[in-house]
Amino acid sequence: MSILTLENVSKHFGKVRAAENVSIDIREGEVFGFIGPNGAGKSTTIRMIIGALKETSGTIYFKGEDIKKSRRYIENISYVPGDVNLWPNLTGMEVINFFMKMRGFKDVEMRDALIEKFRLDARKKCKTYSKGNRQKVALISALLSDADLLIFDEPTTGLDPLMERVFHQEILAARDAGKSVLLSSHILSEVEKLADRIAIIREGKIIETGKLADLSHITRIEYILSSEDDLSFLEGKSYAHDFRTEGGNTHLMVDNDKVADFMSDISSKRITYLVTEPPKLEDIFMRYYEDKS
Amino acid sequence: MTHFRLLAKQVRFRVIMWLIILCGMSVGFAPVFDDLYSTEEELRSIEATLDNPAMVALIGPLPDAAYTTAVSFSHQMLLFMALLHGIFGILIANSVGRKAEDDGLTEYLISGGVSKRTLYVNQVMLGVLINLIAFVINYAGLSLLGLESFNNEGNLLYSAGLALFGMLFYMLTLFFGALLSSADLTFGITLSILVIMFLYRAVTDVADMAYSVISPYNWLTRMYPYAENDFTWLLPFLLVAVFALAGWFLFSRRDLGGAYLKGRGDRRTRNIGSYPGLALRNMRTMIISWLAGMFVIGLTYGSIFGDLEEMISGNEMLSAAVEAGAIDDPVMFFINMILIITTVITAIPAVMIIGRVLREENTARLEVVDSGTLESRFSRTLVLVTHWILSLLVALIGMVLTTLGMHLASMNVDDIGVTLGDYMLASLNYFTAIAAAVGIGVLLLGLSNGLFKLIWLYVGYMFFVAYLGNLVELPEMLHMATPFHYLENVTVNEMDWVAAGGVFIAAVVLFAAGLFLYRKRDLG
Repeated sequence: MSILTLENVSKHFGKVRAAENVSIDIREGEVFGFIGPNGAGKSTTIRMIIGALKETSGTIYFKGEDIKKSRRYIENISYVPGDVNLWPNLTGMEVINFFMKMRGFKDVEMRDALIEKFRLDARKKCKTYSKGNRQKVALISALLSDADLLIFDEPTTGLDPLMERVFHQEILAARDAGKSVLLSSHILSEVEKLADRIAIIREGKIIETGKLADLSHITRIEYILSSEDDLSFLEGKSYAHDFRTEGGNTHLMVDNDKVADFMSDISSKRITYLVTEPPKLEDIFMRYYEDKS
Repeated sequence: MTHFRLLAKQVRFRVIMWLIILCGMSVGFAPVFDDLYSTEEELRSIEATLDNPAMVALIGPLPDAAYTTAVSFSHQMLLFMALLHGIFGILIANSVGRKAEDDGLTEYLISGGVSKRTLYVNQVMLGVLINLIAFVINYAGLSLLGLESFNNEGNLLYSAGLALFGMLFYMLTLFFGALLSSADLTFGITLSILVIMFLYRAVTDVADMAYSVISPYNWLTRMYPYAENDFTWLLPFLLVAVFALAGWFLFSRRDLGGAYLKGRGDRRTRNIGSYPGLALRNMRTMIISWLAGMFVIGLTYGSIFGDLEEMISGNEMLSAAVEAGAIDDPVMFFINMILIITTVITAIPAVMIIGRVLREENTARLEVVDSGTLESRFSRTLVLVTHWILSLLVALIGMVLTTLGMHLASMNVDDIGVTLGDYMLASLNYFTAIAAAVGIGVLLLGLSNGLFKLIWLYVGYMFFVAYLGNLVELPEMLHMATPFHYLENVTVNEMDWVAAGGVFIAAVVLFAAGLFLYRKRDLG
């Protein structure tokens, strides 16, 4: 069952095509990753979903219902933008309470638990908060909600690694409680950790959708190895890319679907050091464009 | 570079701007007074106008001595200028003192080998220096003007009084900066003292000036520059040294960034449960300051109503219009013109309140709150309606306070013939013009975020046509584009309820159209 469906949704600002025929489908109870570099159209798409922007063409359905029919659908979506602005003269607690009132959400214990988990000093005025603290206030406010769909736009920029983990736990907890999550990010590893399915957007267009595992044909992993034997023969292999030696180590990118070939080729060598780097978003794009040409 | 030069460089630009404004006002207004109140008759007339409780509260008690031009200058200017010199002192002291400490600059300096003593002494010296410069400019300026009745002792007292007043609040700010835990708190407390002292003496000056003596403003009053020239009232300003020393005592004995009194960390969490509540909280200070300002503007205009006849006969354009028969009753005509001017001024806060919708939109707070909240508790409609109603309320109350101020300040002037009821009718009448401007603002805001700015051009245009249109022949078309064209000139003529109602209905229609568009358009 789909909770949110975008059907050929486009948004043009004059000549700029911020989003072009975007079609995605988010199912109930899943975490959907929305990846793309900055300026790819992620925020534009999200702002159409929450009704801040009107789509130039196409249709958005929430639980099967065209959102143009009723504004009430928005009551079921909780949203945190990438750049959080709060009212400078209110304290964090006052902002959180205000959001709860606006949402008709009354669970004070959950509020206090979240404030504790995120280690937020909620008594301070928002104007004294750093970007990370403002983000915490917005994340806590968004989680304190009965909404069925949570939308986070670049949620972890500004959070330290510890708080990032807390946030990830909360996302998974929300999913386990049956909620759906749309998580936009330009950090592939974050989305990989959490998302059940992803969509990749670039220059306003969706270029891939599906499970990350299914997308392995377009991902590459970087291997860093060293050996007492000569590894230079790898440079000629069809699955190897960006081969280089650096500080005594051999670096190369290997197509994910050819890992077995790679492994059997090096199995006879005495490998003394092996490290893998997870795929980066840029690599996916590189690979994508190589395939196109 | 020595630390003192670093400090001076840091505030150089701000200090120069302040000195230009402060000394420019004192030295610049002296010739204006000389021009306005030169004859015995003019002086008697202004003295009579200022001799009422409202004006005493606003500018201070009348001196016992003969009311010369110079006495009039110091009487009307001194306390108001003191308020400004006080703000100057507070701002500069806070920025080199507690603000620099909060920002960690002081720590750099200490780690760079500057001792705490040098640091504090230089802060004090800076305060002495900038106020000394203010004294020299004012004293030299007033002396060089060489105006009649501006005697040397008077110039000296006027300039020294203001400089010492500025210095007092400078040292007070250093003192509180050492005592309290943040620059924000220090600014809040010292500014409150500055304002409360002014308000306190406003009350006691009217009731019994003996009680006023607690307020530093009253020390200035009691000097009576140009009249009694009482130098003994410079003595209480020795407090400058007391606060400077007490500040050092506190600063030298505490850690950097520390405090003796902390702000209420566990302040009570206010419960803001609705958008109107939030909007009111965010705009409270702005609204109250504007309303207070409107009342003062009313008092100020009202205080000149006694001199209107002379002023009009001195104005060629106006007296020509009277002779040509275009104006029946010049006083009434002038009061009406002032009403139109104050209407346009009152339109400023009203339009600002509407403009604040855009602040919610541009910071994306609007869309964040909108998603996930119940439509009945938060929506674009609710936001716009909230600001619209607040804006109209401020416009109406602003008009009432302005005209009330005019009425209070001109009660003692005979044969003006405008009753309080007339003023209230005029307020209601011209309120509809503000509502129309606000309506146009909402329409622009509904069309697009960027177009809203044009409303300020329209407000300027309203002012231009209403003000000039009375004096020079302007094409009918220009008049028709402002609401004043349709409204009756209340106080000159009877109120035209149909016209006022019509303008108000047009204002509501403009608002409704703007709302309709705003609900549908893209945000930010």
